[in-house]
Amino acid sequence: MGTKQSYKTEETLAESIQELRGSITAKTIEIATNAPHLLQATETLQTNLLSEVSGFEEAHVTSTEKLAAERLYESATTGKPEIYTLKIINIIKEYKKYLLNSIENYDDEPTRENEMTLFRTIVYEFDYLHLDDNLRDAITALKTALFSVSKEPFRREQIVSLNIIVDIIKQNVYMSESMLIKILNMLDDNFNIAYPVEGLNIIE
Amino acid sequence: MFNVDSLVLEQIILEVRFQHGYLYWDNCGKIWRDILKKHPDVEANSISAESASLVMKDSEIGLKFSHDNINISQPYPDNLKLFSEFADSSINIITGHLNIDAFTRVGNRFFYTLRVNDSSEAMDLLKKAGFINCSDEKIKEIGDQIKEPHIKFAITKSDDIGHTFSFRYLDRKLELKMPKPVKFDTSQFINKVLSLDVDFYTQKPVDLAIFNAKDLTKNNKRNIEQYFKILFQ
Repeated sequence: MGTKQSYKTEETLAESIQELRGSITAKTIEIATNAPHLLQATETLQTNLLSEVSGFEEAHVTSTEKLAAERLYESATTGKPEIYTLKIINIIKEYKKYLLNSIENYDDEPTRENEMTLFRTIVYEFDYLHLDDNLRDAITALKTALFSVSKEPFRREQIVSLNIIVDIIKQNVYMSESMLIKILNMLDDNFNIAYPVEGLNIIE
Repeated sequence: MFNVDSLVLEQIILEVRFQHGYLYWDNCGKIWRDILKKHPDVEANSISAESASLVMKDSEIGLKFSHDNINISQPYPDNLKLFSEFADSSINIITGHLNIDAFTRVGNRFFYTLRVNDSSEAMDLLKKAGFINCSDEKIKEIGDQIKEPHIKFAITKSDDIGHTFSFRYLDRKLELKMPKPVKFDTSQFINKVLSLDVDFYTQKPVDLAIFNAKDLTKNNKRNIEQYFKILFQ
């Protein structure tokens, strides 16, 4: 296979493998949530499955690594980046750590909820930036999703989905319609993003 | 060393390359229509099965696209705002119609000139910066002096990105033929220059989802001017 042809095929393969990882993580969490007595066994299963996927990837997917935004817009001068794209990415990086801490300390409710409280404010960071339409819609949906979880603690799958969503935003600052729909679907699966209009009578 | 503020940016070029843009042959007219909707002052230069080229008359921003690349250029840009906004808007329209979601290469070229009195002054600048290290004795064995210094090199970073630098002395002539009664002013044209041509390029594919011409050109211009300070100090 020539280099040009193989790039497109391997890009699709890499994307599929990434989605496979996401599915394994999401489904094993679902199992552990529904059957808490199987938590340890499920965690072992998850680790083994992800390890298999990594092995498969190493063996069969050559590197078609794309250029990261941080490299594309790397500055030769010191100081805070004035580059809009990097501002968005830096916000994501800063707030993602709260999600990761929350997942790591899921069983410690005070720590988990404290981390999620710190994460919630991510949506206000974007209020000060001029965003592209699709990204603006994604952030609005994220805001609604976070507001919908005000009276009860976050479920594990909700935190995992938020982790996946912020990664998607980081890689899609100039978001396509299809990526926006993917985010909206993930939020809809795990949160009640229609809650602001719940109970509203729409007169046809 | 020279003051970076004394440099004249004579041309800026932004080029993106991609694969499988075969919808070019189906959608060229749609692309042209959508660009015209957003930028009514654009005019067609030439349109063929190989490529299409358009130009914004007043600002002289040129756009050329085909099934495997998009090239936007502007001579003597006053600032990068209009150029980068047009680049973002036209690239979005074209990639949308061609179903392109990633670029195989992104290139951004800045062509600066620095006024010099003659080739000796250009030669001095290059010598003091350490680019030319040929002793007078060696030169005297061959002839009198180096007349048209030109050096070119590339510096890459972790196989991700690179910069090609080309510095050369140019003695240019401007020739215009106008009808007798018409008078014109060429005082802005600098004929003896040290040209500083820098080309930023990527060595890995770039996702459309992280690409922004405004951010890229702004960042590259600032970086390149910083590199001049480093190279010529």
